[in-house]
Amino acid sequence: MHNDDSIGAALSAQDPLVRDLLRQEVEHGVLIPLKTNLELRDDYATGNILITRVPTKAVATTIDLLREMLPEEIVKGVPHLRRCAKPSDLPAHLKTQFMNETPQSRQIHTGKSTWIYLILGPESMLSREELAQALSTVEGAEEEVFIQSVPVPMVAPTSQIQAAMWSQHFWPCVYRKNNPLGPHPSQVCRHTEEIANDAAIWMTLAHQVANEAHAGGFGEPMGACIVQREAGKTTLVALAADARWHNQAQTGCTGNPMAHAVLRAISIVAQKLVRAEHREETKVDTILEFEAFQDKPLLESEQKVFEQDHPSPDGYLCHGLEMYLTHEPCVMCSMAILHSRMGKVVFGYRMPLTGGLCAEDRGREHPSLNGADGGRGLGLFWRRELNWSLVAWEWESGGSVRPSPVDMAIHA
Amino acid sequence: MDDTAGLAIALEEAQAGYNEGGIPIGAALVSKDGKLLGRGHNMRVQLGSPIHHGETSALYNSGRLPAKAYEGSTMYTTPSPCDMCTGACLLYGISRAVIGENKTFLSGEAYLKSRGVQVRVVDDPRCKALMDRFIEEKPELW
Repeated sequence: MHNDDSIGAALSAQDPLVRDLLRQEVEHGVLIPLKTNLELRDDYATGNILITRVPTKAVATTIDLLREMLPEEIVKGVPHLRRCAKPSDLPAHLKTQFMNETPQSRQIHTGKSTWIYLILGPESMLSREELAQALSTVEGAEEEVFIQSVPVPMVAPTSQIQAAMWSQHFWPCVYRKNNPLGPHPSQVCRHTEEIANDAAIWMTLAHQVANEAHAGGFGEPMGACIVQREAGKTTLVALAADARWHNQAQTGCTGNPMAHAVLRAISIVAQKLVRAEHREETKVDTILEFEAFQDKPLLESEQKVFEQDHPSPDGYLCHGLEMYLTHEPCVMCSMAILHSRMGKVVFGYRMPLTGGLCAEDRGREHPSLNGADGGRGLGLFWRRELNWSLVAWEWESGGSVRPSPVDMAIHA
Repeated sequence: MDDTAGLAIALEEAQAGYNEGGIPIGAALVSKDGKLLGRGHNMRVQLGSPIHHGETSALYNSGRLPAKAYEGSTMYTTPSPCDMCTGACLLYGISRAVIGENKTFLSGEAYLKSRGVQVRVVDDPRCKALMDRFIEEKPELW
């Protein structure tokens, strides 16, 4: 756990502008990594595979045989499961089951075994009869060909520990240092450490700008702060609050969606990049009485950050930057964050019905929202089918820096 | 205005984006009674900003309208809308989406439908051809 000294140290390392902007005390919070859709839904999905056993010296010919009769995708196997296993490497329950079947199987499991257990493939894709027939031709095969179905995890383990556990419960597993269901755990750890010391500063600024805009009647009490981190140094790149009610009568329920804090913040970064190119601004046919995007600074604090030049203006959009938000962004803003190629996102308050980042079913953990049907969580921060992914956290403050309460049905 | 005319405007916008050296994605927003409310195209290259997509540009260009104006309206887009634009259409309360093609990519359609938006995919070869041409010429931008 951190103490106030570490906040003091983190603060003194910041640009004077940051200290100048801060009007309230910075208090530490805890970063909780988000779960992906896949991690929540398919984590323990198991399927059944068929296995056989052959004498060690016949393993190669058996695999050749399988290669001839089965499609490539089956024979190449499942990367996280060992194709071959010595009798002594089987999980205890399988060992007990298999060795007590016949006198020969007892022999197979005794002393220095000359037999190997072998994965044939997913049960649903195989015909036991055909396999039994083919395997009976293998040299040294048992009189009655051994074929058994065993359940196995269908997705790769995400840690050494999980692999060891699964090896005891299912079948010998290999941890291949990847996480097919989400960001790699070691990457999440590394990034968490990287931002843990100063995340509180940026969260505080996001809350501060949110409250300023709310007090000024611009928008909901929602705010965003974009930071660049390079070689251990952090630079504040954009500060933006929600401005959905700016120049907009508070009649409808959504206000101006284009003025959500996230879109404004991302747009401010874009304006800084264009400014640094010293090119003529691309003219957009503006409808003079109303700027839908509301992406010019409205608050003094936004203006101060806007005036600073982009620390590395040759970058692409918001590539690799960090975004700190008071609230979980709506679906539109969540996808805008992905489009912008943001590297990390931290938000303070989960929007249980309207958020786009979390994968949990919306509204489920709020009894008051029963029947409100937020639908399935979209988990947009990490989706296999999208060509960009983020590391994302929820931030829980131990202190007084908390988001102002908003209607749970609102889109942040 | 019918779907053919609506999509034709979106395609014109896409072509305009292409001519500016940008990403050729266009959109048009048409009201319930067939009036054009706004039109626009992707400006990521032109403005260096990822939030100016075809649909958001069309919404931007439609200016400030009362919430009622979007009721029963149709958003025409040349390819399938991304999740950002899907979210934007839902926030504005747009009722229908007519999509030129969904072969280049497919993302938000299911979410639109689940939220009660009517979705029609036209499968217009001109929309696909323009995207293909752009992706071939400027793979680094795509």
